[in-house]
Parts: sequence; structure tokens; C-alpha cells
Amino acid sequence: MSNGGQNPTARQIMERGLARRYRKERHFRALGITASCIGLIFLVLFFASIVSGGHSAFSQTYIALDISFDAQKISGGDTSPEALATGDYAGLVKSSLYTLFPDVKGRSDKRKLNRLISVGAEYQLQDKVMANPGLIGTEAQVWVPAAANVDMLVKGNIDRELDERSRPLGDKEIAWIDQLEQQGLLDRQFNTALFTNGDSRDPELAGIRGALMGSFYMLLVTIALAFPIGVAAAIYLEEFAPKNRWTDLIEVNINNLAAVPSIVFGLLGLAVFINFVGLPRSAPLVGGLVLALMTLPVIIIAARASIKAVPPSIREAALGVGASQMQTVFHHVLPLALPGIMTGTIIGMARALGESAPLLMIGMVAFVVDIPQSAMDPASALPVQIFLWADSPERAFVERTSAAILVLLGFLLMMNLAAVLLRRRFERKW
Amino acid sequence: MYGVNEGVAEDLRSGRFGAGFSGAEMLENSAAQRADSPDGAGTIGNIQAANPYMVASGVNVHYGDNHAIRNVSLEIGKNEVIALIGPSGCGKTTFLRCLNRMNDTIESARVTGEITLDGHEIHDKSLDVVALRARVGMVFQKPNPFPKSIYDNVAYGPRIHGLASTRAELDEIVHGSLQRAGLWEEVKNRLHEPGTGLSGGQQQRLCIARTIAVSPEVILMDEPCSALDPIATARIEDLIDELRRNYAIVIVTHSMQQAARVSQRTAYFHLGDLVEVDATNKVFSNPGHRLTEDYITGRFG
Ligand SMILES: Nc1ncnc2c1ncn2[C@@H]1O[C@H](COP(=O)(O)OP(=O)(O)OP(=O)(O)O)[C@@H](O)[C@H]1O
Ligand SMILES: [Mg+2]
Repeated sequence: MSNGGQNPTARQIMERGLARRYRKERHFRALGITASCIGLIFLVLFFASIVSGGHSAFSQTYIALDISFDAQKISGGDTSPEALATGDYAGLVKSSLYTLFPDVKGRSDKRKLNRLISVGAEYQLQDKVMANPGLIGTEAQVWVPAAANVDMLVKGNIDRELDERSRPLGDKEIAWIDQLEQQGLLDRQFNTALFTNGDSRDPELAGIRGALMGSFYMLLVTIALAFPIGVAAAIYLEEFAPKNRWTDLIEVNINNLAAVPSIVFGLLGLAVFINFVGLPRSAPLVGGLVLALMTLPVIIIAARASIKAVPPSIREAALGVGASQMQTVFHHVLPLALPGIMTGTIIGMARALGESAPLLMIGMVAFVVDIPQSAMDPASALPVQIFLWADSPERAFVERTSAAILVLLGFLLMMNLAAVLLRRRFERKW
Repeated sequence: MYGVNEGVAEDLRSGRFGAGFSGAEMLENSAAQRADSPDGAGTIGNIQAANPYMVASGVNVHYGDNHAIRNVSLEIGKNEVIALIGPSGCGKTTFLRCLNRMNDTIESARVTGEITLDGHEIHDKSLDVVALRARVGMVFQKPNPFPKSIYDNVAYGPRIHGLASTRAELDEIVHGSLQRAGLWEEVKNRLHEPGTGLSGGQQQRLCIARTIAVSPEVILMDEPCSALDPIATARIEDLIDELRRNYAIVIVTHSMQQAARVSQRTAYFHLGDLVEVDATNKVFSNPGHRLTEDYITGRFG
């Protein structure tokens, strides 16, 4: 074949194909960039909406009242701790308000005036007095939380232009609030109540502390159970178990378990832990048990994968100098697999933290005011709290819902960051 | 003919032959046909060692359906070095791994036949596999240091076996092992740096040091010099020569010169068969089998 002029050479064919290959690559890159951008846009929109809706919940309107701690008014002059504990503190708030607004007369106007202040104010005063009985007989300026409607007005969530009848605050109340603001007796401060209080019917008093503690105890139970059991199971299955039909069956089942909808675990928890074993409803202990069952397959799968990723040459090296199977696993394989195991565990925990469906089944959706002191106390959890607040009609709960979501996202972000850092820190080094 | 040998292996497994059975008898049985039959399981030459310490008889290894070692019988003697040579994939590593039961770790591997260490069957319950591996040390084909410090790499074996009661004793073992493996000078100032940070050849010597640190009775070396320069190779060959005084040594090598230099006996494997075993100078000067001759003269393999 010497008709070289006619037939294209290999190089010519290749060069023709080259342009096509580059075009394909460009298209693929464009596709990838588009996909990433779409994902990013949704993420930004999501965060923007939550942050814009939730950031205002981190501040709260407070009103300064000059309170005279008069024993006569509180408890008829009795200053014993018992009497102080059951005293009338609402009266203190009221009389302080009446001196501030001497023009307000009439029962209905007075009631309106009183409603500017949160019912939390009297508890705050009571706590103050109980903590320091020396206050009795003195006068002091105290910043007390304003009612949710006042807070909403100050944050601009109530439209002043609207007809009086269709807004929650009348013209008179708005005038009082403006007067307070002009006198410098009204201020927005950091909303500590959001982090120190349990749930409440009054939005300005509602906090996520109870839910946070519930989630904390629950995750404690989950990790205490799921981590050791999961790792032990993974080690056994990878390193010790004979490879036969039974272990295949177990493997298939574990993989299936990881795909079971979480609500099913909730039903299981209800049937087994509450109805059969008789553990208390709404307890983080039960929630933790259910979430442990749910996370277990995730941890087992992650742990098996990272144990499998340890090169067999390391095992052979250890066995070759006469280490037993157990020593090989615990001296060499496990330390090398641990970062991967931890990463898997953290991701499983993050999933457990964000889970709400199974908790609905075991009664952790209850309205719990008290902050749980142990894993046996009734509690809700952060995602369930979000669910509850999202259901409330009050405008003030809307921003608190977003704020709680932000807190939850913050925790999830921290956990995922920890997983990434762990992976970085212990990058494979063989 | 192959079937006949299968039968022999079968008899061996069922224990029909007494302890006195040796490959030599088998040799006589089929010497006539064997001369040009590469797939025969018989072996020419002399499988016996002067001072046998490990004795393999009728060893077969299957990896699933792959019959990787066919009816191999071989004695490994104390105070001598036996070199295993043969083309890639002929089963040298597989045979070596039978001797310390390393094939146990491979799911698909099935080992049959008898292997004794100092007169005791190594597959017996009475001989613990962990103890066996401490007595029969192995240097692997690919350097596989632990991802730990150089010191810990060498100290690991002595530690788990409790060979040193004080830190000073352990230091002494580590120092001595690294010295004998010819690595001490290079690493004495960085003992606590990771062993995986060493060069390939240094890693190989580290693995040798790790193996000799537990003072095994038999040392199996799978191409211990494949990544070494001539100087380090000479150092290791000196070490092998020195170790020979107390130990039995099996070395797999692809270098004819090395086999000729360090070994007293040489075994030639071909496609799972042990084709020929004899004194090294005999194998290299006057090979008995055409395959052996082709291999050592470089005509293939
Ligand atoms: N783990 C294993 N699983 C399955 N087959 C294996 C395994 N290891 C080795 N084999 C097979 O056994 C045969 C012998 O392999 P072996 O590693 O013993 O060869 P070798 O003589 O050491 O070769 P080389 O000189 O290349 O190291 C080969 O056919 C190989 O494919
Ligand atoms: Mg090999």
C-alpha cells in the first residue's frame, strides 16, 4: 500500500478526532458547571430564606420598669421564703406601669397596658427576689421582656398602616410603645431566653434549651450504643466471620436495614421499648434506642468499608511476625480504620440529630416546658421542636422556627466539619 | 501419569504412607517418564537436606480451581540456604506461604499435604499458628512496613512475644536487628519517624530487620533484594550467610547470580511443579531437566 496521498495517515485521523474529543470535554464541563451552579443557587436561596426569617429571633424587645419591691404588695408584709415564693409579683409590674402611664384610666385600657409586658416578667421578678431577698424594700430598674406583639411591632412585623381592627395592637398601644421608645425605656437585646428556656405557649418566653438537652441525651444514648456495637459487628464480620451463606445473609440484611424508612424504626421502638419493655414515653432514652437502631447499619457499613480499605499487606506483616488475629486487628487494622469509622459515625449521628419521624411515634412530640435533667425525663428534640413551632399560628413563632432551624443547621454543620477535618487529619499514609 | 501422582497425594493425605516416605521414593517410581514432562508432579535431583528442619511432603495448593502447587515435596535444612527459582507465577511465593501457614488468610486457598517443623506437623492443633509464625519468619515480596515509627516496626514482634523485659533490652534488639539488616547507619537519627517514609530499598531492609528481631528458626525471604542496590544486596547476602549459621533459610530470587552466591541448594519451580532440586553448583553447572537448563541459561522465563 503506497497510496499515502489518498489514505489519511494515522496522525491525520487522530487529529480529526482530537477536535471532537475536546468538544465533548467542553460540553461535559459546561454541564458539570451548570449542575453545580444550580445546586449552589438552591443552597444559597435556602440559607437566605432561613437566615432572613430567623435572624430577628436572636434579639428580643425588653422594657425597663422601675420596680419598688414592696413586701406589703408582694405578700402582705410576710418576708418568709414560703410567702415570697407564692407572692404577687404581677402587682409589682402593674403598679410600675401605672406610675409610668398615670393618664391611663379605665379597666380595659389598664388591661391593654398590662398586656404590653410578657407574663415572664413576674417570674423574672420572683426569681430575682428569691435569689436575693435583700431586694425587699428597695427600688430598682429592671429590664423585663415585652410581649410578643410589642416585639413584633418593634421588629417591623406589624404594619402600622393597617386598619386598627385588623392588627393585633390598637392605636393606643402603639402610642404607648412609641412613648416608651422615646423615653429610652424600650430596647432590643440579645434573646438569652431562646437558649435558656424550655418550650412555652408564649413566644417571647419559648426557648430551645429543653429540646437541645433532649437531643443531647438522645444522641448520648445513641452513640453509647451504636458506636461500640457497630464497630464490634463490623470487626467481627470483616475479620473473623467465616464467609458463608449466613454471613452473606447478614450482610444483605444490614444493607437493607440502612434503607428502611426511619418512621418504621419509630414504630418498632413504640412496640418494643414502650409497649413491651415498658420504658417511659417521650423519654430521650427511648429516642436514643430507636436512633441507635437506625444508625447502627450506617456505622457498620462505614466501619466495614474502612476496615476493608486497610491493605492486606499490613495484616500479613503483623501475622508474619506472629501477632494473633486479635492483636493484628487491634494493633494495626483498627487504628488505621478509625478515621473512616469516626467519619461514618459522625455522619450517622448527624442524621440521627436531624431525625424527627421516629420520635413522633414514641411520643417525643409532646409539649414539654421543663428542661429534662436526665435521659428518663420527658423531652422533645430539636427537629421535633421545629415541627411544633412551625405548626403554631403566632407570627412570633415563625421567626423562632427559623432560628431553631439555624441552630440545628449549625450543629449539623459542625458535625460534618468534624468529619471532614478527621478525614484530612488522618489522611491514609501508606 | 499425572493421575498416578494424584493418587500418591491422596495416599499421603490419608496417611497411608508412613513417616519414612520421602520424595526420593517417588522419584524412583517415575523417573523414567519424567525426563521431558513439565506437567508431571515428580521432581528430579535430591529433595533431601543434610540436616532437615522443615519437611514438606505431597503439598498441593489450590486457589479455587487453580492448582497452583502440585504435589511438592521438599526438605529445608538447618544451617543451609535453599533458593527457590522459577518463572513468574510458578508458585514460589505460594509454596513459601505454605511453610508459615500464611495461606490460611486467603479465602480461596486450600492447602493439602504434610509439612513438619522439627518433626511436628504444622497443621496439627498442637502447634499453634501464632507460635509457628514466630518460629518461621517471613520477609514479604512487597515491602510492607507498618505505618508506625521505624523503632516500633522492629520492636513490634519482640513486644508482643515479650522478648524484652526492659526498655534497654528492647533498644538492644532494635539496634541489633537494624544493624544486621544494614539499615542502622541510615536510620539511627530518625528512629521515631514513620517507617513508610523510607525509600523502597530501606523499607525492604526494615522488613528484614523486623523479621529477624523475633529470632525465628526458619526465615522465609521472598525476593528480599528486588529493590536493593548492589551494595545493600551484598549486605543482605552477608546477613543471609551469617544467619545460616543458626537458622534454616529459604530465599526466593529471580537472580541466578544471587541464587548461586548465597544458596547451598536450589529448587526450580515450573507452573506449580517442583521440577528439580539439587545442590546449587550441580543445578547451575549440570541441570538435570531441560526446563531447568532453559531457565538458567535464560532461554525463557
Ligand atoms: N491470592 C491468590 N488468589 C488466587 N490465586 C493466586 C493468589 N496468589 C497467587 N495465585 C496464583 O497462584 C499462582 C502462583 O503464584 P505465586 O504468587 O506463588 O507465583 P510466584 O512464583 O511467586 O511469582 P512471582 O515470581 O511473580 O512472584 C499464580 O498462577 C497466581 O495467579
Ligand atoms: Mg512471588
